[in-house]
Amino acid sequence: MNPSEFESFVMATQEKALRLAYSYLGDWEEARDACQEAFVKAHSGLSGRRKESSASTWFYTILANHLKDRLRRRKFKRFFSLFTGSDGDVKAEPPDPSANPEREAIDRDIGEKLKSAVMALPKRQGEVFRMKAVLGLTFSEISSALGISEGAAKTHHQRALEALRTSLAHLKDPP
Amino acid sequence: MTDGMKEKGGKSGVEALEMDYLKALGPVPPAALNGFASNVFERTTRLEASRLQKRTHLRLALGGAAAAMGAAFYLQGGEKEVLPEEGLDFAEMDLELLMELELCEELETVELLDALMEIDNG
Repeated sequence: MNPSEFESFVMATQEKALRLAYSYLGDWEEARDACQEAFVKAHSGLSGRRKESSASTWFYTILANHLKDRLRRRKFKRFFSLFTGSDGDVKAEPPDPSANPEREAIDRDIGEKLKSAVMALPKRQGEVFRMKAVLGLTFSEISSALGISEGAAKTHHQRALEALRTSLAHLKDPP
Repeated sequence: MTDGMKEKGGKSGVEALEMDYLKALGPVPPAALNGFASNVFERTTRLEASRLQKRTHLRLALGGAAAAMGAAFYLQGGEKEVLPEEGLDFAEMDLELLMELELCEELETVELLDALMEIDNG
């Protein structure tokens, strides 16, 4: 991948990457920072990949791992802050949704609960669900991105859906 | 309650749930996208430049080491090995050895030299 190809790759991938990062971190600024770091990390490795499809799957693997690292660091900071009393620079809360007029249109309560339910999913289930919902990857692409079998990816997705339905069951409208 | 959550199963139910989730995430705010790509290129360019600089330093160091080794090899190889001439140089004769051989016992210096010359010639 030459510099101009990399440029077009970034332009084509940035939005999806940012959404995925936000779905993990819940903060756009942190998501932006994490995505940029992942692109820089991937830059040298991407030069050896000619096919854009395999490059994007490969990049999402790097991004997902980077995001997991960030979450791990955040947990550590939170744990550390228990002893120091500082907030450890943790930005757990998403920004004010009123800054985004389109988001005001959706049901905030249900949306926030759905986001929380996805965040509360077991690690693998959450990863598979996000990759399918946010990135629109196929199970085959998800399996190669996460290094698991296609069957395992489907199973994790199914379990994620069941867990989400269970945790959101109380939101059902009365009959 | 949205359709995605109402439906128990099926592809459309899954898709609706995924759509609900995407809606909940909301669109990417312009502030997050603004200057995103240019920032990435700036960082990768800087990284490339620093890598190139490191590589150049390494090449220079390796080149210097190779030149030093080459010079040392050349200087060592340039010295010609001096082979001893055939025959015995009496100047190299060990007097103690001669004494042991009882060749120079009670000999005057001139006689001793003669004797050594004889050995040398012989």
